[in-house]
Amino acid sequence: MTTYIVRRLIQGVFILMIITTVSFGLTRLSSDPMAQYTLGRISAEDRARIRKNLGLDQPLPVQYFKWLNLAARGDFGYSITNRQPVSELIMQRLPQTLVLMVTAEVVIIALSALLGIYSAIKQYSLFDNVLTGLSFVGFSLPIFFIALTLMFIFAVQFKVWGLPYLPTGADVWDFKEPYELIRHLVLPVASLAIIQVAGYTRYLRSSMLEVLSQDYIRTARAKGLVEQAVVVRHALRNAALPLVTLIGLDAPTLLAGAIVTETVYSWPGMGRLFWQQAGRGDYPTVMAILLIVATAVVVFQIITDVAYTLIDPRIRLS
Amino acid sequence: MSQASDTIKLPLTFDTAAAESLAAPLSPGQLAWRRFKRHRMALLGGVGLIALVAFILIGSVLYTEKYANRNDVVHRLEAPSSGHYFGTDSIGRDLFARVIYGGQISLIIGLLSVALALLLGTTIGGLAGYYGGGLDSILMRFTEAALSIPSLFLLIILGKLFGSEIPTLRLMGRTFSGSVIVVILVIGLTSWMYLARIVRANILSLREMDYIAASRALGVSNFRILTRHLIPNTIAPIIVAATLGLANAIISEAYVSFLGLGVQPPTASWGNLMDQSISLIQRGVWWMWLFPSMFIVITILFTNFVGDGLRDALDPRRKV
Amino acid sequence: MKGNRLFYLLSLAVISAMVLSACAPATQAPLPTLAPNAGATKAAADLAATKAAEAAAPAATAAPPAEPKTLTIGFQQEPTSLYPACSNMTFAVWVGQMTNPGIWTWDGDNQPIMELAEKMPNAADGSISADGLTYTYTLKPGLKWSDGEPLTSADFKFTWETIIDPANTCIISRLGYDSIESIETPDDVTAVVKFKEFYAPWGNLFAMSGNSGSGLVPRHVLEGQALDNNDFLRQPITAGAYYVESWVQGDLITLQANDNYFRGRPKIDTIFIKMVPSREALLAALQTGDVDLGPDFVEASIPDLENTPGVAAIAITSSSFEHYLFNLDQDPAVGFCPFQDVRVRKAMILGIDRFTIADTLLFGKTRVVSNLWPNTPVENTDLAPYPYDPAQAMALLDEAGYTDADGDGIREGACNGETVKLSFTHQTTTPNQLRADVQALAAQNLLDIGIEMIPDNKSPDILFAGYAGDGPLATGKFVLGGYTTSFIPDPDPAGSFDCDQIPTADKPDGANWYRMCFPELDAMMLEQKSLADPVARADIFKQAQQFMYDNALFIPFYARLNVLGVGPRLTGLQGSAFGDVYWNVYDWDVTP
Repeated sequence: MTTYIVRRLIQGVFILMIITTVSFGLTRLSSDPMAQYTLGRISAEDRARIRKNLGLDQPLPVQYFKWLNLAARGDFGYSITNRQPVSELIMQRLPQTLVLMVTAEVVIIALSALLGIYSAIKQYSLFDNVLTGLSFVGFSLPIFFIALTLMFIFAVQFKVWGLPYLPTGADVWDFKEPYELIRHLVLPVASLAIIQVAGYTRYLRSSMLEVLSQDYIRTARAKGLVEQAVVVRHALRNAALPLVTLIGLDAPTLLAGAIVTETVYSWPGMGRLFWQQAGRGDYPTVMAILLIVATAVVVFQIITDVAYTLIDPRIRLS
Repeated sequence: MSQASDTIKLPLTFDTAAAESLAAPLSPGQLAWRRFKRHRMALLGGVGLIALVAFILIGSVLYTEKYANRNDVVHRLEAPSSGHYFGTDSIGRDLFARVIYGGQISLIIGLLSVALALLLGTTIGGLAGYYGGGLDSILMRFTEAALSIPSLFLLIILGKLFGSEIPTLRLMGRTFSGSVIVVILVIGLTSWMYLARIVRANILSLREMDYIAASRALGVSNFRILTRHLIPNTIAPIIVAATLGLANAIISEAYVSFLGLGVQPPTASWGNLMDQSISLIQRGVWWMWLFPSMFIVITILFTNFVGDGLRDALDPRRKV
Repeated sequence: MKGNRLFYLLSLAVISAMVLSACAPATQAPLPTLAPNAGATKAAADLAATKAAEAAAPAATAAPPAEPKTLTIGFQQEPTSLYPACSNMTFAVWVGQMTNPGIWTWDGDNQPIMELAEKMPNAADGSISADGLTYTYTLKPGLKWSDGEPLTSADFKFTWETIIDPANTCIISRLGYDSIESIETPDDVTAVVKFKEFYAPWGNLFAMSGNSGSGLVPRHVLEGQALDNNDFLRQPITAGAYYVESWVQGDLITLQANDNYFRGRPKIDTIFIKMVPSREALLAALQTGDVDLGPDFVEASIPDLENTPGVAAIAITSSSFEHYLFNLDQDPAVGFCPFQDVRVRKAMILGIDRFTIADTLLFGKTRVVSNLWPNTPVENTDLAPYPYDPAQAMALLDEAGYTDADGDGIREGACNGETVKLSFTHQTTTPNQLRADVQALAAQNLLDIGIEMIPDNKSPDILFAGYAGDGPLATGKFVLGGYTTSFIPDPDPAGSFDCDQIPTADKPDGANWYRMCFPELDAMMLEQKSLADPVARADIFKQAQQFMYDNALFIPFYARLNVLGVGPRLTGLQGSAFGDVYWNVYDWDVTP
């Protein structure tokens, strides 16, 4: 086990090196920070000075190694547009993103587990068919459409109709007040859940079906165990594996936030920070976010693998 | 699905677990077809997809692309009528014709980006699985690296990168906005990774089989073994992944439109038609969002039905 | 239909949550005192505490106000800095206008209105020297910073020193400030500025307009400190109607009324600036009353705003102009050879129905322009925009030798010894629905006269990338470009038309993206820079406009509109082409 973890960690470092090299190149080439300084009352001398100050006059490899040298020591440098430590920018966004994403994840996993297992047990029942159909519609629509539609119905139209309405997220509210926080979470979480529950339900349903059709379940049934007991004792335990897989895969991406949902509901999260700074060519911030998320992916991968062995003793790590 | 979901999660449509279980060699086609036929939803999906393609093809004959891009500001934002079945858009273009040509572009994007993902995925997965060793390590680390960056982030950066490079293209007398190619590249380049893993896993298990060992003993070249034996025997999960990937690509196209990296007007796509409509929801211009979104939903539904049916049909272990 | 059914289902999904929230009072909870910026450094927090205490002190002695008046503004983009000289974003300038006044600004009639200055230097009373190199500025007496410290001419001088200090790399533009040789401060209200050479646009310096500028910076706070990465950029001490109380990044900027403001405490107590990154969400928020003022809407939003109950649309005709620019580089390898022929350029202007575009897509709220200085004092109003005249356009193209010889509907002709087809790409920014729509109309008009214009739009960070970043406009790798800019408050175009400003590998930062080189125009631009008399200078600008008009050097489309959505509570807004709406923030009020 220890050797396994050590080997995976070494592989992880290798993976991160690939990521930083490739994404530094891509990030720097895909957006020019100097685009911000082209129009308006600014002289050629000013532009030359800014270019030099931002270190953009140096060759790309030099810029990369300078960045890597600092990043390896945990210093993400300063945002080239905000002139603020990148770590500070990220730490301001991280708590808000986690509140939104973790809430959404809990709702999504709980709902999908319930629906997925139920519809697997009642395969081809009316409930199963309706749910399958609905889940298809759920992930057939892009989230910007769902998020904006929810906002227009439950914030704008409900207010027009004189019904109790939910906030658009553009109001000024206190993050620390639980009641306000819940009110503001409802719509973004609902939007995220609508597109995500669909996929997860299908996944869990098919995993469950696979388990239910396996020989030992048939044996259990043949032994005369009542259906309830079969499901609870055997099937549910085996469905834990796909659940752990899902959580393990999702956990690191929770840090990255949700770009569109955060944009529509004015949620000050990481996804929006990435999107905004990517459009401004702020490569220190963009690279820091990429590196943090990628590191989390690598670490959670190992954690998930270890969790497998705890759940299913048949799985051995080698 | 990865792009379609805001939270950048696993493309579950590439149902790894189920697809990997298709490792067994392809069952006789007849058997599969029988299973597929019994899958009513799949049949419905198949018929629906054919009807959809027919609609787009016949429509393209009835209306020229020039007509679809022809604007007429005097008749802007008109509700559906006998003159314009789906109404008109913000500069008076006929939405019916635009939905037809948008469908063309969306389907082209879907098919070509899936083709690109297939090419990359099978090549990388095949090479890694067959040769193993150092090459396998390098390719798999590269795959994992690509998986470790949230695909939406990757998509944004790639979209910006290609967006500045790719010029407008002329093909068969038609002008294709460079953005169409950008979207194809971006979606293709962000969705090959799971396929690579599936193919590799399959080839790893096939490699040990007797007939491969026999071929090798007979001196058959590696290339021939790979292309004649290993890849064809991995075709089942590839077909399933491709079908489901098509749905994924169509919704991803809508998604990148919202981020401003999608297909640029005047070239229509279902995604950019839908994106153009969202600012008009409030003005009661319902036809602008209803028709494009209806077509997206229907296409994805049908494609997924077919994909599910294919999976059930091609998986000999699964009993229908 | 599918869509309606979806709505129904979605409603069901969230309705339970609605029932829950119905149990509690549905009205907007009154704004609690917001927690100070959690992420700010300790120094900033201390600063905020001190200021909050100071702000609270006078309020305690006065009669207790009934209910603090608050206003919420929705910004679609977050400023990169709250000190406008360290940000290139209009959003930062708008915060600057509310918090950080310059020595003067421009009112609703685009006339200078004195802020910190008592009067404008002028030749009549000798405050501008005869040689035009020495300017004597007089500040209002008794000015104070928001922290209560006196604001004097020493701060005026310190502002200049801050801007030209090479260590302050965050300063974006030093244009003009680098022409100052020295500043002397004989007393607290007088600053004598000596220029190295005559600098015609001196009126821009130390002033704040609606799209650029710099207010004064406090010496007592910043002396001896580096500006880069300073908390001042996030929480500046200023002298405006409001001061920045806190900035929760990504979310909210809180401005509080400044008791030390020289015009007296403004009417609204607190202004919240909330980041609302989506235009659709901002419209929804205006409608629900979550936001009272939403700037940076687009022309296409006007009907949405007007049709929204309780929301009004303000469309300010600005001095910004939308125009298409020809690549006029004389090298056929860089420029597009046919554009060297004035008849082709003129035909393109005549061939696009800009009037229908203004009447339909812009709802007739603005006008087609003939020049690049619309709605400014130097605009040459004698120049009527070229009419829409496709017949004349085609005649011009025929005359220039471009005809549709091969019958494919697109003209071709000999240019520089080669046959060139009048088919090219047009690059403007995306995503922008109005631009795409205008582009589609223009492309169709041009096709009718035998010119094919293919849209090839880029996102702004690609289109406007610099020479080293391989930006198409900067490197001349474009045929026809398109964007909006403005030359205000001073009409000087900062080298945009000068021969020696064409960007090249040796001079990558040149400002002349038109890549035009006309000695006559160069001479006029040189002359205007040497004239002190505004009337004489305006004459030169009018001549320059005539020259540009006669030579059809670009396709001017229309004067842009600054579109704002205004909720029912806010009163006192007055739009200005130079000063936007924020110039008179002290006059704003809210009705309960």
